[in-house]
Amino acid sequence: MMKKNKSGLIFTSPFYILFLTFMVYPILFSFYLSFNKWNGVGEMEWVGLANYINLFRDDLVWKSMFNALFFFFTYVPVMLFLALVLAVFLNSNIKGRGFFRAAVYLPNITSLVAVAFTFQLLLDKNYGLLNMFLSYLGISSINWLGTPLGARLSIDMLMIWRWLGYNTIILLAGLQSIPEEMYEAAIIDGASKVQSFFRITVPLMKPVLLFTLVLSTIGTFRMFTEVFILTGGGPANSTLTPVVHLYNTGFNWFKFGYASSITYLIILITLILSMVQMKLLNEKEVKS
Amino acid sequence: MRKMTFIIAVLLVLSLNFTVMAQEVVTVEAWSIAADGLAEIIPAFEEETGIKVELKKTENATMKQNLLLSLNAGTGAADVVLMEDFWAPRFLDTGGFVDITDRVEEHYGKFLEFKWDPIEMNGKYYGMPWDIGPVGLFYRRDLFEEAGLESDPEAVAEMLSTWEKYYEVAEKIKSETGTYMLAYGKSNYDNRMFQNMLQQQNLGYFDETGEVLIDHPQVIETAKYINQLWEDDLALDAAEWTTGWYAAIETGEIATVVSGSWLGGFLKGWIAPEHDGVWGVVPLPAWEEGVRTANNGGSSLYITNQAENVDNAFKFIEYALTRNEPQLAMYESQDLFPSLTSTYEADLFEKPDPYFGGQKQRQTFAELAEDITPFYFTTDFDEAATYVSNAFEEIALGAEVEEEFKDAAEKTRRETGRD
Repeated sequence: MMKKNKSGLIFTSPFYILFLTFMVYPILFSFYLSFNKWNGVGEMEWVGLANYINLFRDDLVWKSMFNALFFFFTYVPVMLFLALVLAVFLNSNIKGRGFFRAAVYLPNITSLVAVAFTFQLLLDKNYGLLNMFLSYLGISSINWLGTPLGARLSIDMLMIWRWLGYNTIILLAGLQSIPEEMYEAAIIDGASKVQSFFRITVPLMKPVLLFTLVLSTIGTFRMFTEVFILTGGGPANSTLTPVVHLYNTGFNWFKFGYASSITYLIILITLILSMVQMKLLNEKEVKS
Repeated sequence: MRKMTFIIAVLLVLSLNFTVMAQEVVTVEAWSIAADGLAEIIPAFEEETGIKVELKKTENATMKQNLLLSLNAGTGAADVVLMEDFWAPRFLDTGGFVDITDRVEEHYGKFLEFKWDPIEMNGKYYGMPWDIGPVGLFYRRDLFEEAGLESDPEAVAEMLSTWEKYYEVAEKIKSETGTYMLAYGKSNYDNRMFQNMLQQQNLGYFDETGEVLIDHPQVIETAKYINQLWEDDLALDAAEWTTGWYAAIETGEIATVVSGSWLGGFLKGWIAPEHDGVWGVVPLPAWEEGVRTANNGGSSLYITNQAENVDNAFKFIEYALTRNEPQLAMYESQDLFPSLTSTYEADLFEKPDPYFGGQKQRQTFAELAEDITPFYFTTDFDEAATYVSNAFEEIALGAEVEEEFKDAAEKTRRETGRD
């Protein structure tokens, strides 16, 4: 028995070694860091809870949290709804299904840096393609990246464009586990397509939807590259996300201790939000 | 056969010899045009000293990150590294560099004095000055003419001798031709032009002792000047290095650009190569006090404490930066404007530049270079600059200038623990 365990442990050890070095160690180290003042190279200075106290008076931290919530409430519902519709569409017997399934996932594997630069060109106030199309519709040029609301909506668009396919694929997998008989029974009972979508598909997809919702919550609070390249957090910090602020604090201003305390705040908030979501959705299930 | 063996043996011995010689290696890391410039002068240095140089060209953004990581790890940094003036103090503060005060002493007077500020920390020197970007005013001759104004450099320099006059000309050009005088981005902009305007007046975000100057009355006045340009619709909302900015220059939407001498190279090279003879350069307009120029950009070379042979590393720095020929070669090919003042006597500066309508633009900048006063970056420049940019963005959205700058100053003091 002992011998059996030993070889098993040896075979699985690469995972544990990598996990300990690249996951557990940084997590613990940054926790320790969050009680210190450190410029990244020299001596650390123990400051106790000072970094955490500073979080409360740093208006950029709270502004970035507010922005993350704004993004969450604007793009996630739209994206998940569209993803579900697309998934149903891709689950049906349409022509070229394989092609569409691949195409919808393509944005997710495109280099994000290239994408963000392309969006920058598309959204330019005077020379962007989007404003050109809008002008044909008689809508005067919108300053997408130069106004707070415009910039926030631009980030929303980029997020939806990039993550729609990813969520569609997850939901598609969920759809395929719903037995065909249910729909057949519904048709016999005289239910329309729309009725069976809202009465069968949506309730049965609840666990999968919950999964994508939790992933999107975490994704929103971890949003970085999209914002970093497209808007840099501006204008007037209207698109500053917690991780962009964390990056500036650490890698541009060399305040690694303080940056670590922001990390732990992000983790705490994401954790609370995910738990609330799971609780809410589970309760509804019990009632129905 | 025996002959063959002999030849092989000789070759082997020779190659051994080579490896012994090749142990004298200096590693150098720099970015973009600086690396290209160094690559041109390395062969001559290797020949003269027998020291081999390994040059690594890195992207600007990755370079900072790699340098921080390798200083942190205590291994992996090059012997000689390039650092830009505005971020050098932050890195010097980490203690990863060699104090070369005794070695640079004899060269001190050869360079423009303001250039030493970011290199020095607590009375010690850690590097040798390289390039600068003397700031001038680039203007469109054709647009000035269109507005019924004189367009040769002497007349324009006189016409735009103060920022007050600049404002009047801006109004005139706008009413005559409908063209904006300049571009000043309302968002996504690091406000280099504002920093240049402060440097002219011997101001900045910090003073010499590191105290915060952001709410200094003159700083606020300068910000109000920019806001006025926005409010009177004389400045186009386009931040440097964005699509809108390139297009504004190319299509003649703006009549002037405040920038470092290196902009000339960019205009010729790729922003507007077809604008032959269209542009001119004059000194910046002056404020009530201060000079008609500032500095935009520039780097210096530093030796990290991971260098195995500091003597050899310093030999390379000394060769590349304190002699006229390499400095001039790199200026001519890569537009790296020297801070080594003896180079300004060279013939190159006397050459008329056809792109600038035959103007001796290099001469103009060399004369300006000697007037540049220091700009004190300190270890917290990046953070302060972020708060100032935020202030400008709020102002562009309608906030009060004075209030925003007082807030930015307050925030900088609080977050950086300064006075």
